[in-house]
Amino acid sequence: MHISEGVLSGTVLGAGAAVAIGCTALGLKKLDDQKMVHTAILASAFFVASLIHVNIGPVSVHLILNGVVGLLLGLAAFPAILTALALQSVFFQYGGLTALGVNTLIMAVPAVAVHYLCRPLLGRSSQLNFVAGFLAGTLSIMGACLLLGAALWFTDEQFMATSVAIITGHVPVMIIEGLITGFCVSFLMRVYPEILPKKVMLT
Amino acid sequence: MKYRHSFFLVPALVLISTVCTTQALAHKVIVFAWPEDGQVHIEAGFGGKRPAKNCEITASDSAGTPVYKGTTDDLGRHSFAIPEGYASDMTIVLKAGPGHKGSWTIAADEFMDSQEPSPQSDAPAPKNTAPKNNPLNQGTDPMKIIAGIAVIFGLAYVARRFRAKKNTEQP
Repeated sequence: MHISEGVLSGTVLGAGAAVAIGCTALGLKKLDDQKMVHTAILASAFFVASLIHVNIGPVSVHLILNGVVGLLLGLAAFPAILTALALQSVFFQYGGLTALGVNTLIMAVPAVAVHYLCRPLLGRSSQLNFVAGFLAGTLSIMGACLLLGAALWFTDEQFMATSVAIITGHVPVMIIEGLITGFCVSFLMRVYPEILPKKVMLT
Repeated sequence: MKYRHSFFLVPALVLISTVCTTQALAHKVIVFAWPEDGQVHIEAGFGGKRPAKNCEITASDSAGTPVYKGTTDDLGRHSFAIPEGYASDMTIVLKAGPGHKGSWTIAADEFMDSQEPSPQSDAPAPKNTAPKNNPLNQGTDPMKIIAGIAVIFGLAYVARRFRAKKNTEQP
């Protein structure tokens, strides 16, 4: 899911970096001091998730976890994901520093979107907690695939063909991420509700 | 006690990632190429013994002019004969699906001892001939994972201190 160095045009990279800086600044502004440790934990989870491979038959996929980061952090997902991606780029050469802005948007925009889409489902029942987590995990990957396709489209590739190819290749990831995010959210709602957004801490 | 689960989650993350990533690098395209016996041998993969199969390869000279195009086999390998009289750096670029690209540059002086053409040009690279510095054989360093997490928590600490100081300065 990380776009490599040298793939995108300078215009796309520049625009991506500018928008990512703006979104990160907004995320930092909204970041609650009391949630700083939670943000660091989730950024760490995102940082290591890409290193964890899951083999499904002949396919090997890696986790992303942008759904759980977005669902639990909201706009603060921008600085969390930017930091994790920067460290992945420096330590493991994933993506690249020039593509950092675009990669941040690809991961963080769907993450923030699922925060607003799925958060209302949280805190109602344990089943809905799982459903909210599953949807957050699945939709965040699908959104990231679409944004990846859009970024490549702005450079030189066909949007539909590229997006379909990316989404098809990531169907196993969507299902796994949905399940993992669902279990994570259900578990956290039970044992550590303080990590969840304040509006849903009803129990 | 507020963050008691944090102290459990972080070591768990480190443990899972180090166990699962012994030889696995996610979707980072790794290309390695070396000249030998008049041929350029290429190996490409995603780490963790996962070859980059059927991927498009383009070899270009130092001016960016393509000198060869080909495709990797099921083992992520490809070989081709060094063009006659070739004497500049060569950059091998491999495209591995949407948004994924890797490259490797062979310095001009590496061709000095490898210009003799081989009768088996365009034959697949023999097994286990890659030099020891092949990045495909390098695993993930667990220390880098720990260092990354430490940096994240360090930044969070600095941000919190900075904001706390800013809040106390305000009337």
